[in-house]
Amino acid sequence: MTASKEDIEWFDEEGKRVDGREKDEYRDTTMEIGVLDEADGSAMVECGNTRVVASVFGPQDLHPKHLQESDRAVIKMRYNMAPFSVDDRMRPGPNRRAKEIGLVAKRALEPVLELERFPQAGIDISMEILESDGGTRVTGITAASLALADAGIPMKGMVSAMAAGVVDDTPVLDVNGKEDKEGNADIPVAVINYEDEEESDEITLLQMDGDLTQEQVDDCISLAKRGCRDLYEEQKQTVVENYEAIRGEE
Amino acid sequence: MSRVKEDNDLVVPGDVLFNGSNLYANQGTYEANDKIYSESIGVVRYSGQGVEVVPMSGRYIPEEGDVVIGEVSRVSYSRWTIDLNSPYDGTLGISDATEEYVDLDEDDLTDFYDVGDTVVVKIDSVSESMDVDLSMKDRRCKKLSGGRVIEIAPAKVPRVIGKGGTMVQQVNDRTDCNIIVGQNGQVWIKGDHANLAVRAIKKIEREAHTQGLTDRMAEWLDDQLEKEGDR
Repeated sequence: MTASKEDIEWFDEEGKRVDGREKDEYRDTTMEIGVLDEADGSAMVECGNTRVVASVFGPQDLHPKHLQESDRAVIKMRYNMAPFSVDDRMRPGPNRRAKEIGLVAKRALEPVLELERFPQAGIDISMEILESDGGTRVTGITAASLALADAGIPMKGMVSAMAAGVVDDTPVLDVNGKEDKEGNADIPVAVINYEDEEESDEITLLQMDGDLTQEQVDDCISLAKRGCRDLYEEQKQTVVENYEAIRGEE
Repeated sequence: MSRVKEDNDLVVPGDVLFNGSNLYANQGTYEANDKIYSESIGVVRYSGQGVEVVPMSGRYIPEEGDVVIGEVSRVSYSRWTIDLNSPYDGTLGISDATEEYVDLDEDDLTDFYDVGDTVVVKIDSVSESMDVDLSMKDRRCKKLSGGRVIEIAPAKVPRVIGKGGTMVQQVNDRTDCNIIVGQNGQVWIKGDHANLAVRAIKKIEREAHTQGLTDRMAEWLDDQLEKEGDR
């Protein structure tokens, strides 16, 4: 039997969380780009036990024709969880939740893309969740942003995303599956990053789910923004390492 | 008012390239709040008046004046539609295709170019809404028969051609092949050592960003030819 919500010990005597992290520490994250050969751009991001592969095709011909826009490209965003990504089998195919996440992820990425450059074209972005342990939408957005850059689609900056949440009335960064499900609240945040940190204050995704006070909301957002910045540094490093290797020694 | 990066640095979208606005923001860059930023993954190039980022990936987007290799995908009443391996198809009108008089009701357009034919065409104009007009009125333009077409990344095309065409000329000479490189990343190869030429082009694409590649390729080609001779 699982313990009831009140019985869970969210912090040990040293103040560490259920998986041994500090309150403002995010899970170990690894990123890789160019994981798929056929796609124009692709990336895989692992954040703890959450693992997402994102792919980008395009700009390309868009069908059906009535979806085309005469002055800009149209993004088709797909969020999909593999049947084996959660403990119970996930029923395959789109559902209400997947459609909503696809839509918010699209809106999180759209502001950085120079879509007017490709009138009438379409860009297909897909986020496949291979393993889920909380924070799939934010990990998906981070991966999709890398894949878009890898596809050579012009963008103003890199988008990175991370969630913060509240467990036991304490704000924590990057909630995992258990904290997400049984904690008080979680707030996913996506930020547009530029090289200069001062300028990087545009938030393109902010959702909230749960019970929390105004101070906790503020704390969560600043925690998540901090995390997004660190993720951006990792994204940048991944790109540079990968492309310097392609460039070879000079 | 200063350069922030070094020439040849690798940058990612959002990186600052220049403080101030007295420099032109060329390809791969954009201007905002008195600064110039990069908008793609690529290599920085500063010049006297401008700064650009040469992208390391991306699909081919048609540009006026480019000579490209395409495949005829549709024949209509008075024009051909040509697939350019790009998000946008090209249109070749009858008057841009031939000097001959063509009676549209009597003559068959497929006598000139039929669906599936590979052609070298020049991009005459590209409209705001990305309607691409093609023309055959250039001495490089023709229908290609035989041979094969391979694909390389459009970003690597300048390297495969080389300075003043030296790189492709070298592969040409040593393998006795006819090679035509389209700006859209389509490469047509025909000749005795076509397999070797394909491998050579692929090798150049892979090592596009290394120094002294032309000389190294010369050695590599001689080496490979010798091996083939032994067999």
